[in-house]
Amino acid sequence: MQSESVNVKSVLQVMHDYGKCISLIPMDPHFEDMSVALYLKNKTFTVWTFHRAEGYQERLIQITEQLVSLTDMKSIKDSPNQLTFPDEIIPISPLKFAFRLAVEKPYGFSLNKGRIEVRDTKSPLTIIATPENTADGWKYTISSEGEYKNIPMRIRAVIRGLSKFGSLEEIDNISACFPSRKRHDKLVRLILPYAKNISAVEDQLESDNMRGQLTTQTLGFSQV
Amino acid sequence: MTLVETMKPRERVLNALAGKPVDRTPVSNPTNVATVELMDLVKAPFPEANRDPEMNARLAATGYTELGFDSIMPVFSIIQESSALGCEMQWETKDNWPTVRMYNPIWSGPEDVHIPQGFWSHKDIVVVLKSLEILQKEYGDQVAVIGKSMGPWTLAYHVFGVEKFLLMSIDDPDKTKRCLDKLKEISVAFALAQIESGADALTFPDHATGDLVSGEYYRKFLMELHQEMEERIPCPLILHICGKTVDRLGYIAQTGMAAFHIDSKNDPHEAMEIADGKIRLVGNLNNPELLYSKNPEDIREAVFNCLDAGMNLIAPECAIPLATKLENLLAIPEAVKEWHKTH
Repeated sequence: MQSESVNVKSVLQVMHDYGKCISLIPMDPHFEDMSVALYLKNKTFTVWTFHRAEGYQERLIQITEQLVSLTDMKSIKDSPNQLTFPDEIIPISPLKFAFRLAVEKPYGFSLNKGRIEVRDTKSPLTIIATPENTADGWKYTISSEGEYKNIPMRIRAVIRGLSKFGSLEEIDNISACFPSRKRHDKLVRLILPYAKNISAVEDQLESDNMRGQLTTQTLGFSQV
Repeated sequence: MTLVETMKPRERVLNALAGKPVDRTPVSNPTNVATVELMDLVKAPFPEANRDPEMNARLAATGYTELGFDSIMPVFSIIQESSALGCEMQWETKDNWPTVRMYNPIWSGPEDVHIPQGFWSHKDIVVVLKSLEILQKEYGDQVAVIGKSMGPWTLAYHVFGVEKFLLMSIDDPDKTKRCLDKLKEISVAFALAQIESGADALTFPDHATGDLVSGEYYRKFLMELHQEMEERIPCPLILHICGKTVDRLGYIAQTGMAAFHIDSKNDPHEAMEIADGKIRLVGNLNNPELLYSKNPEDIREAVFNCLDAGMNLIAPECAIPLATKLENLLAIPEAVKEWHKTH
């Protein structure tokens, strides 16, 4: 059998060199349907693919640049597909969402500037996240604009969403912070649209996860 | 303590299937361990890797060369025969499984069942036979090459449609048996062709699944038929049925098949107790909640649990999710070796 593998690195070597796979996107819609993954070892992130179509390195650099643009990750000099995150405790969950956006959105995609806000989908409210420097470090306070019958309930739900998808810690019913207590406006801006609707995001994630699973349900060999 | 391996993977797997001593418990893949990353590694993406012999063999080999499993399984899906029989197919993309469109069945009764002209030259049959030849030539002296022939119950779902076939089994058991009797000839013929092409053993999926079919149904429609398969197919057979199957395991153990590939819905300790040494068990690492979702540490724990129960071959419960992280698959043989250092 003629070996078609042109990869220098074996799977074992990749695991050894780059560590744990944090997130795997099965198909990059913008480049050859290649799979692309984010690995983490000793606080160094690596954007990696086993695909070797011409131009794959440039694509990895694009994805790395998008991660820098969407988060507070810093690229590593002379290693254009590797990054670091400035905190001691790395908030992994929002970085997974950022990685998906970096791969799936067109190169150059960016989030809105200005006030961190999002239109709620379960109420007529606009939800606002305001960074605030306190004696204990930075926290984000959630407030709203508009009229609604039960505003505290919506604020509380958003806090839960920030905790679930953003790795933030709940301080109270209206505020949360990153474990490092540092300021990461980009991550909060990125996560806020997901945080406002936990169940819909969970359903979407569940649906994404079912793709590629061979089960009695997906085969049609079971009663659902 | 260090683990000294004295057997080649092939000998290890075949001994385990025969109930003979092994140097350590083999890690097997009676269904498959292809992932999107492995597809990229060897330039063999789905759906083409299901239809092109070279791609198919390259991708299948990674289970041994990259992941360290003791067997190679080149039949990734469950659709090869059905495609060649004329079923309507949905080939999907790289990140999903090809499936049969069962809502549009091709046959309605036993009189329709036949091997169509062109079956043996159909690319979805040829791919399996050629790939087995390639793999046997390249790796046959080292590693167990396992083929796959679908059982008549699964073929019936595909050619008659799941709902129609299950209703037939209630309304007209005799007609159902006649359908199975004719379909089993396809299973046997494809099995024999794969042995001829180099398969050391065969997985025999027959989806009388725990969700749809009772243990009594298994006894009534399939137990004797599976006994016949064991008698007519001259290589170790690994029966594969998804779902909770401990209610029929006692019957399965009477088929004479070499092994049963068992789902994680069954407790390995309970299953081993029921099997009682009459049939070897292969499994039963959960796919969606363990291999797909968790970490090597969790996988190590699950592998240890299977080994503590005495599972004869360690394997994922079914075809793994295509986006499974490779570190989780590498963790399986690692954990097996670690366990054997202290047992």
